[in-house]
Amino acid sequence: MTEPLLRDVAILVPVVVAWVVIVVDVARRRGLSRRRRIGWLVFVTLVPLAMLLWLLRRPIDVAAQVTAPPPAPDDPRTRLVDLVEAYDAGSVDRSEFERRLRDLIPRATTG
Amino acid sequence: MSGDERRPSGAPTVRRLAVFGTRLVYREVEVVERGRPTAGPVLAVSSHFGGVADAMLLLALSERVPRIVARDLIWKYPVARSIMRSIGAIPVRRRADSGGSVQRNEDMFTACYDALGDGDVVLIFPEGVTQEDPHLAPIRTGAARIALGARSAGVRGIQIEPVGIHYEDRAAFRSRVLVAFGEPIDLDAVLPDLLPGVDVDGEAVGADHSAAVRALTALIAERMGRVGPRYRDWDQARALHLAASVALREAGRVPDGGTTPADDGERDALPLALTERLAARLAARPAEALVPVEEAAASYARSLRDLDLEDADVAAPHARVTGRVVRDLVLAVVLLPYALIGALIGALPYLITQVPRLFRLSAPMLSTVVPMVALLAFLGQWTVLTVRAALTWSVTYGAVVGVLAPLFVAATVFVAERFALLGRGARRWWVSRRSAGPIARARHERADVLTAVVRALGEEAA
Repeated sequence: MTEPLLRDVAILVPVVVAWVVIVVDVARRRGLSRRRRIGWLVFVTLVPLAMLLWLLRRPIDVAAQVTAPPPAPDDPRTRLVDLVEAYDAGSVDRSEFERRLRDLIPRATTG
Repeated sequence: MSGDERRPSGAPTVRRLAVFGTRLVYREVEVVERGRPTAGPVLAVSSHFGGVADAMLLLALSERVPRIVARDLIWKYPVARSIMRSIGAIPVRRRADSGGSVQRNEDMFTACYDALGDGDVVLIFPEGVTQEDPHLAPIRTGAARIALGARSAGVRGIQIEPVGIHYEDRAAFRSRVLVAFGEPIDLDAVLPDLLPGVDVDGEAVGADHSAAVRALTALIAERMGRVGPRYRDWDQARALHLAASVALREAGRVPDGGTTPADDGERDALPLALTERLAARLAARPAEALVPVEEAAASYARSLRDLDLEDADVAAPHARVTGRVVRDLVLAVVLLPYALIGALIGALPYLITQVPRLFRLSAPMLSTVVPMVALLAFLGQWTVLTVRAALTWSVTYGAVVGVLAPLFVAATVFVAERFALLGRGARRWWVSRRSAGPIARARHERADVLTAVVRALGEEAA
């Protein structure tokens, strides 16, 4: 008696999780008209097969393909690269470059 | 519109495959861009180090499906042919393949002019074939001839968009990749500067105007060079990447001598964009200024390999336990049962992705084979499970299996990554307690790398 119950719960939990994930996805995904969005919300809630269809048919979100965030501009590591590029472009002179480089990398012994 | 006729309903499906393949093959996808053109005719000119992977990434990362210019040999294979047709790819005949006949390339040029005339994106790899070495090969004139030909056929507002694709390890499954979109060339705007004294709106400046083709090819090569890799060989590429990582980690070190912002137990990896930009600046130094950097980096790399450590371990040995780490670990333990099911599901397709590594294939070859094998293995496994569940029980159960199987595999990946981080933390703690022996030597070598990098950066770029 307990074993089938356990099994049903073990299946039900991930199905509910999947449903929640998919509902959030339907609600948020760009490139969907309001009517279609509501239609999909009803559909994935009533018919399990619709969850599968959604995963196969949902609009492609190009921005979501980028999985690593770009480095922040005020990150000292970004400032190091910006500094070197500015020096190479000629907009920062050598003494200014070495002073700012020492600020960014205090442990380095400049020659 | 003629563009729609040549691009039947297959395009979304192939794009979905590209999106799925990108998610599957790469652990992380980074993008840097400087104002990508969102409308109008675009000629994308991309570096070509990754075979099919290059095309897959650009299909997944473009709002508009690019018309890919590809070798006509691909059309000889049945499945490949229908895929190429469905995305409206344009066949190009290479002289080397056809024994000299270039007659059919008239069709290629016409198809490109039409596509650009329709305001589409045309994607071409001007180096011709996938490259072995980590620098751009001399580019062919095809891109310039397409752009100029289309313009003289009346297409205005063409943007030439340079693309550089940097693979952390193009032969690996689940590694990282950086796609850099450079500043586009506005053809109408640059043409008068490229051809001083020539009436650029006259009919004559077309695909066969040799001075224009030469000047535009040089400009395209220069812009591609800004976003593409430019290392002498793979040894230099590896050495300069390591050297750049050392400098970046030092710059990211917070003043109290603690860990770098991104190293607080959450992510070890530096953004590829930063490593690549700094390594590129190093590579621009005169060769003699680079010798000490390469030597120091090579011996530090040897020590790391012997110790089975990474630079991040030596750089920031204090693995801190943050709230996020605890939360992730609790989640990982909760997910463990499902992750085990996911491991059972994913084991076979994962092993299949490792099979190509058993053969002695070159890295460019693997960059084509690994994504294709991974797609086939995982999609095949998923289809078999879903259909079998549907036939054995019911369509509803089939759908449930179809939704849950990828979810379980994702849980496996999540749990495996958290446990790997835990192992890494333990290793760092061990490293931090050692003050003598090989680890001390590695620390000294790391300091030497830093000194060499700082000295080289002070030199004028060549």
